[in-house]
Amino acid sequence: MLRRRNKRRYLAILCKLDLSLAELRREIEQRFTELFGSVGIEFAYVRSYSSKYQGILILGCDLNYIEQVLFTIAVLHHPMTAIAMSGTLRRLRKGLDKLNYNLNA
Amino acid sequence: MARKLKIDAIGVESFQPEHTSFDLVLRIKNRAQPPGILPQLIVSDDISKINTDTDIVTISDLAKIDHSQLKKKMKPKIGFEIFIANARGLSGKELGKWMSEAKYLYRLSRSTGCQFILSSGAQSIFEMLSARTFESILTVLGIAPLAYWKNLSDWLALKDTMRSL
Repeated sequence: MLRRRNKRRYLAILCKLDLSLAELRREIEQRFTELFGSVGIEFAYVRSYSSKYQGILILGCDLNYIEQVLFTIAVLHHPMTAIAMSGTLRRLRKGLDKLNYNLNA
Repeated sequence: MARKLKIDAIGVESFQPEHTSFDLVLRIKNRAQPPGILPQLIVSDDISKINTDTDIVTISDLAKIDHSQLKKKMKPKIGFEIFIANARGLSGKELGKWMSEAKYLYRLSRSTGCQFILSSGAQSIFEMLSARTFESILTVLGIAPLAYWKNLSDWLALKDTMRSL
C-alpha cells in the first residue's frame, strides 16, 4: 500500500518578547487542547522551529488542522498574530527575509 | 480631536498606491454634524438604545446576551458586531460558549436580514488578524468565508448607497 506523509503548513507568528518561545509554544498547545482535545493536538502535530528574528515564532502543523491552529492563535490569552504561512520551512524563511527587507526599506 | 468627534477606531487600507475616500470608513458613536467627506457608520454598544440611525451594534459580552431582547431589537440591515479580542481572556469552557453564541447570532442575523460582523477588536499590533485568520475563525464557527465576505461587502455597499441618497 502506498503511504504518503501528510502535508504540512508552516506559520510565522509575531509575538511579544516577554515570554520565551518554549512558553509560547506551550501556551498554544494548552489552548489547542482546551478547544479541540488531546487527540486533536496529537493529530495536528504542532512543532516549533528556530527563527533568526526576535519576536517571531515558527510553528509547523498538519495541513488538515491549519484552520484550528490559526483559530487557536487568534484566541490566545497572550496576544500574537500569524504574519506569514508557507508549505515549506525554507520558503517561509525566505518570505520572512523579504518581509523584513521591505519593512527596513 | 478623535475624542471630540467620539471616534473610537479607524480602519486603514495601506497597501494601495492611491487612497480614495472609500478606503476609510469612520466608526462614530453619534451622527456627526455636518456629515464628513468619509463614509460613516454609527455604532452603539447598547442593544436597548438602537434607533433608526444605528448601523452597528457591538456586543462585548456574548455570554450575557439576552436572547429575547436581542430578537426584539433585530431590525433588517443592522450589523451585529462581535470582537475576537473579547474571546482572548476566556477560559476553554467560556470560549466554547462564546463560539456557540456567535454561531447563534450568525444564524439569527441571516434569518432576520441583519449583518453579522466579526472584528478583531485589536488594540495593539499583536492583536491584529490577517484575512486568512479571519477565514479560519469563520470556518471553525461553521460560516462559509466566501458567503460572509460577499454579504459584508453587499451590506457596506448598501449602507453607502443609503447614506448618499
